[in-house]
Amino acid sequence: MSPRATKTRTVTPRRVRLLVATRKGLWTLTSEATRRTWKLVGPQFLGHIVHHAMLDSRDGRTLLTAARTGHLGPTVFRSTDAGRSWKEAVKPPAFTPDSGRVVDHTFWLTPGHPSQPGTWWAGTSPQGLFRSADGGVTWDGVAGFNAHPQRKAWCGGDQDGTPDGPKLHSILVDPRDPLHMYIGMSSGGVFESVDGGADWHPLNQGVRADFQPNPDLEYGHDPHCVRFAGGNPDRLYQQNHCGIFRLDRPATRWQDIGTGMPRSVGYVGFPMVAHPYDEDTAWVFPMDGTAVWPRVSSGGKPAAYRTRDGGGTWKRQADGMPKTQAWWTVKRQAMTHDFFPTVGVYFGTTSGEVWGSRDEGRTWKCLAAHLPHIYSVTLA
Amino acid sequence: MLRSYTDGAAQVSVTVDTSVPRLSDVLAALDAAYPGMRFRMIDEAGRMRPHVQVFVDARIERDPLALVASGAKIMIVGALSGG
Repeated sequence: MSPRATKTRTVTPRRVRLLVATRKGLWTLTSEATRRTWKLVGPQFLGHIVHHAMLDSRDGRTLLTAARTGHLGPTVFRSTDAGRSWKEAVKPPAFTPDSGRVVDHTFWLTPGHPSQPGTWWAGTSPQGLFRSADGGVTWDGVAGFNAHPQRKAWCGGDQDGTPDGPKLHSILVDPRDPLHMYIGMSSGGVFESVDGGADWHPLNQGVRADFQPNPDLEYGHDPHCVRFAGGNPDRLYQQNHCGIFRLDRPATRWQDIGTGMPRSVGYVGFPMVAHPYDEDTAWVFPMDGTAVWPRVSSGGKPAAYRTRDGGGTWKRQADGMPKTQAWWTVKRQAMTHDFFPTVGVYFGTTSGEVWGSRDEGRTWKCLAAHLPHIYSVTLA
Repeated sequence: MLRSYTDGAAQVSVTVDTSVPRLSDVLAALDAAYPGMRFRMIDEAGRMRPHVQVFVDARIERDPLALVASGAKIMIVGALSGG
């Protein structure tokens, strides 16, 4: 077992606020510090497909939302008053006209490094990386990725990838170094930059790609979600199409940590959540990835799984969840945590329910229901 | 949805200062008057988005470079489809 992370637990927050982004708009779910009574407010952007909504943790009040409608193009909305009012980006993420590529939707938003207060990063479908230097008002493509000579080989065609389109996601900025970044691509794999995005290299050794004729590839993998371990940015957790993996830098070979999952449940899922204070603790939410990939809870019995030893073993956490005939699952952006001393864990389902745990996953309660298909749940 | 750009107005007028106006000129003038509107209808490669229908004097038009007669009436419709 690795040494425990040294990050200290913060003082108890005064409230929890979750941004719930759905296929039909954005809602906000708020609780006082007891985390017992929740208030749902919304919708905003009713009718928009909202893939991601993120708080700028650097100022605590700026929010960005990635949205499109079924028939109109993709855009980004920005609020500087914690969501009371919104303005559309003057120049949303878009590829250069000469590229021939078209952004279908902005899928992922990440605030930049604390030393770069106006910087935001966005990942799109198909795979593109964009940067804003003015807090999300205008966006430019990151040429070091979008125009990289290997980009097409890494990503495949824009028509390849997941049923909802190939995606660039999991944009991680090293809290110690704004030039050091990771991205995940479905498909493509995990890539690293040490120069602020000017160049990228694949980082996929040890990760399986069972869907490829040669499973030991340099790139072409399908990471679903990649997260820093809490308090330790030298450790990465990855929920992948073909398993669950952990990487401890400076090593470059991922370790398979999905073998401890029950065989009847498997290791396929989308979200990955790392405990904010303990580098050895993380959660996944498995789904049925057998046969034609039904993408529902295994056997209709949803459950989170938690490791407390860096992925060596996993414990089922389903107390309070339906015991049978619950055929929903959780998308990659739809699971998160809060920063209470006893961490709260939250997820939104494909059937429009938000679930939460006040005790690190031991017990669960449905906090909201009857929402549209949930795409992301983030702390704001 | 596009009316969110025009402060709710269902009908607006724009003037195009070119001797041979094309649909793209009209959409550029619309975007100048109502920033952000064009990108919701036309992608970065210059193509009409799949579910946006544009009628020029009641004739469906998908080519942004199509000529537009002086005084033309242009209707933009979101082709709502799917569930």
